[in-house]
Amino acid sequence: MNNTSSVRLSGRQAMWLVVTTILATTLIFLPAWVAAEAKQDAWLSVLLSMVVGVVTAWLVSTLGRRFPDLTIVQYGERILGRVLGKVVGLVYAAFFLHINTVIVREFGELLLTGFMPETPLVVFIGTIIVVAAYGAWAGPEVLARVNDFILPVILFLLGVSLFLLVNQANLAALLPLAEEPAGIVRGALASAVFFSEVIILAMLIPSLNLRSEAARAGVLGVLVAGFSLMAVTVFATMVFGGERVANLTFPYLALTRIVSVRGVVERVEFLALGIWVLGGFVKISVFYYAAALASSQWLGLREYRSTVVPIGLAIGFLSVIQFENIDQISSFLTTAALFAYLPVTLGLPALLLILATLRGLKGGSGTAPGPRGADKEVSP
Amino acid sequence: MKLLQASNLYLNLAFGLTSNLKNAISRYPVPDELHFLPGEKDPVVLSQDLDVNVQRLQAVLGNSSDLVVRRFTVGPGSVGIRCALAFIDGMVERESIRTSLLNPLIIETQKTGFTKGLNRQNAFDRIWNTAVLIGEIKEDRTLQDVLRTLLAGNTSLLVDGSDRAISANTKGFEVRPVGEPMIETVVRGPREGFTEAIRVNTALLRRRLQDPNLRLERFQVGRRTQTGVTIAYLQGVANPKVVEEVRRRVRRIDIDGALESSYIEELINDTPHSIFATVGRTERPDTLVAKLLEGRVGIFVDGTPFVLTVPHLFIEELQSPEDYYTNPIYSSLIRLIRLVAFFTAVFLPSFWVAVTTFHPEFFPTPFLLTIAAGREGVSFPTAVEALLMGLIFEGLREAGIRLPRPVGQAISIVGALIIGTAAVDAGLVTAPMVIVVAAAGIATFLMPTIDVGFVTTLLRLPTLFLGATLGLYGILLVGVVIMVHLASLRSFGVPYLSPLAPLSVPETKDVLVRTPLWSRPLRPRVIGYKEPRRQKDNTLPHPPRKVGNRRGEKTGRDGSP
Repeated sequence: MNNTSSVRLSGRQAMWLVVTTILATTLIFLPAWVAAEAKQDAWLSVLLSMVVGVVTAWLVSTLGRRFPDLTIVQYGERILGRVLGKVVGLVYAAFFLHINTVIVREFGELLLTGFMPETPLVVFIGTIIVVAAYGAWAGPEVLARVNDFILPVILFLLGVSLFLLVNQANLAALLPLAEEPAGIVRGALASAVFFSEVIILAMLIPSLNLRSEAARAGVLGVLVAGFSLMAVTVFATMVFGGERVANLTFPYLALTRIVSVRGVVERVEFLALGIWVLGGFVKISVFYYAAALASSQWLGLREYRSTVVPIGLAIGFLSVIQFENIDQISSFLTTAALFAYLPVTLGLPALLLILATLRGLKGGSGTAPGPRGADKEVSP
Repeated sequence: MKLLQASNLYLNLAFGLTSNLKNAISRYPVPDELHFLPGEKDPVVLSQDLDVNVQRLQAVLGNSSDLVVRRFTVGPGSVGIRCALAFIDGMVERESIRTSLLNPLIIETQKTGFTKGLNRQNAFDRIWNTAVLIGEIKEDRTLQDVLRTLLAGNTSLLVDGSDRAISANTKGFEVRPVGEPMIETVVRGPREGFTEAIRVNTALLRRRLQDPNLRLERFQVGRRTQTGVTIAYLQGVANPKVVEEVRRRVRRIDIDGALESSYIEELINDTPHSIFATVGRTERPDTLVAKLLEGRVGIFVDGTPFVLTVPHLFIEELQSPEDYYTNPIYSSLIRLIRLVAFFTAVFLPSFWVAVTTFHPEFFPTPFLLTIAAGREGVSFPTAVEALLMGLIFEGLREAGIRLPRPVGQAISIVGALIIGTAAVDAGLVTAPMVIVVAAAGIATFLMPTIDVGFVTTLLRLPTLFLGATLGLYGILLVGVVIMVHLASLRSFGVPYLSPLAPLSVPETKDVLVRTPLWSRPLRPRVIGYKEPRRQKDNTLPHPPRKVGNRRGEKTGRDGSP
């Protein structure tokens, strides 16, 4: 139709997708992991680790401006040549798949321990993968539209739940400020992985109708998500105190559980459930799509949809066997993931950008269609 | 949905069902073109001999009892030209045949000098020019044309010695008078609704839209019913691509009959597998005018008061024409209530089941105790209760519609008794469940269009199932799946959920709320109009401004000079 903005992702939609992707599941866990290192200064750690997200967003969008019609799997091959490029492509396909197995497992674990302890974990993992497969199959354009509903709902629920805690918050719990700078840096490293999730832009840029807006979308997305996470961290610290937050598994869930306003409004954990399921769906679907697109491009397939089913099976299988319990996920994400994920989200894009600049490589006219199958038009 | 289709395809392939089905259907070949006359592929030209033509007509129609052929002679007996008037009884207006055809042809021609020099060669032209007192006439040259003339309710005048026939518009069958719309009722607003006659309907539209740019294009659908289908749009406002796409899709239809606009809807819509309607329908001329003014295309179908409109967005399903005739603040409130009602209708019973079964801790303790006390003596699980009550409710509703009116009264009495206290007293269901199901039912009745009411009923079942098995998580999952499905739909190129998703804040002025007319100088952009402007800026009404108005002292309070 004449309305091109409705055919693909607008810059605003990409930004919203980035926000949901970073924020959705992270906000339930994050304060505990950061507080474990930074205590009452956890929110400063979150502030600091936003830098990682901003840098990643800048790297990816600068690469995206050089290769507007290509994903990182494709321009990796252009920059590094066939053999090394294939290795990089495989790294990304594996990365998107693996990070999704972790997210899916987290997703199931919270539902299991927080809401329905008698239901087997496999049920949660199986159902969310089926629904996310539908989302990934529908493509980024549809996901962005769904997210247009979901993100406002998430932010609204988050705002309401935090507002209800005002009567229990104790500002003094945030003091002393910046007690141990080393702790703040360690806390920032623990949360860096989540901000580097903005790397999904590397797979979404070809679907944008204005590729030049990618940088803005990425940076703003990181900032909005970052400040929301900071708000959660601040409230968790103010309500529980830095020491206690560190011992909670799901600090945000615990926050919603202790809400009590004059005995009228109590136990609003269904707000957390809403955020968790709606946001979790978007996040898992986005990474699912990225994994399917990356693997199909790596294999040289024309349609990303042909890999949706095998990717789903892989995610389900790996997410179940990989970890034994929630503590293993926490320790993986705060330590091992730093060495496993950050090189992929920060190191490799930086390397690719340097090489592309040195070799003067550019590609794509900016008018070619995005990933095949994603932008299927039904009518005129 | 696409996943479902794909899996269906794989299943079918696995069992070879598709190929079998295809073979079974393809045994019956599709005729290349419409054989209006059985056995005659090409047009049959008329004969110069009147008797041959009349015999052929009667033979083709099988001497049908409602075919009337009136033979007469124009001019004095010896030199007179033999003619025949043919029409289908009941389809024509007898009075106009008598006064505008028979009278001038038989009587007036005797009085004037009409018969002077009349012969077989010039008879047709003379009659055409001076003896047929009917506004709309045309010339038929083939037997097929004559048949179409007759079957449409027109009169055919055959003249001996000429291989042409005059087709005169004498349509005059019984039609229902223009009455009040049955479904889209309003408290304030026009009371006229469309009828079954397409010409009456287009006239109702024209009368409200006296714009030379209003285009009406006629198509014929239905090999046997020859149903008239008319596309209406405003040239220069509607998107030409959409208009062309509507034309293309209507021409593509090849079916033996189209009895209602739903036939057309099913054959042209974008989402043949979805329960959501992506083609709108209205029985109100004022609504149709509003849609055309926004750049939509209307599709009239002969024989039904329901006119289709495309592109159709989800949000239109939750809007009533009344919204535009009442105070904007009030109608905004009503729209929000409707939105809440939509979610209530779909999710309330399953929400109740999920919370009582899986998350009782969400209820305050005293309330929980009351519920637990109420459940004593009820042996069914909550989900079965909900299913049972839902079934009874839907059954009563359907019975209320189908039953003849005098009997329908009895249904409501039985319903009130059963749904009321009896079911609770008998220990079949708990009292809160009655309230929940009734609330969901009432919420369904709040839906301004019937179709979205059906949608809520259909969605309630899977939601209930997942709510009963996976609790609130299951309900949220269903919600997500519905959202993805809705977000992937399009109606004639326009995303079905726009302007909400993709979100366009300036376009939401007339979506969940309705802002006053003066605040919306532009057409809604999502429809893909051509001409954006619908009124001047600054049309906010206000009393005359004294300052800077030199004629201020002459101006009255009401603004009149």
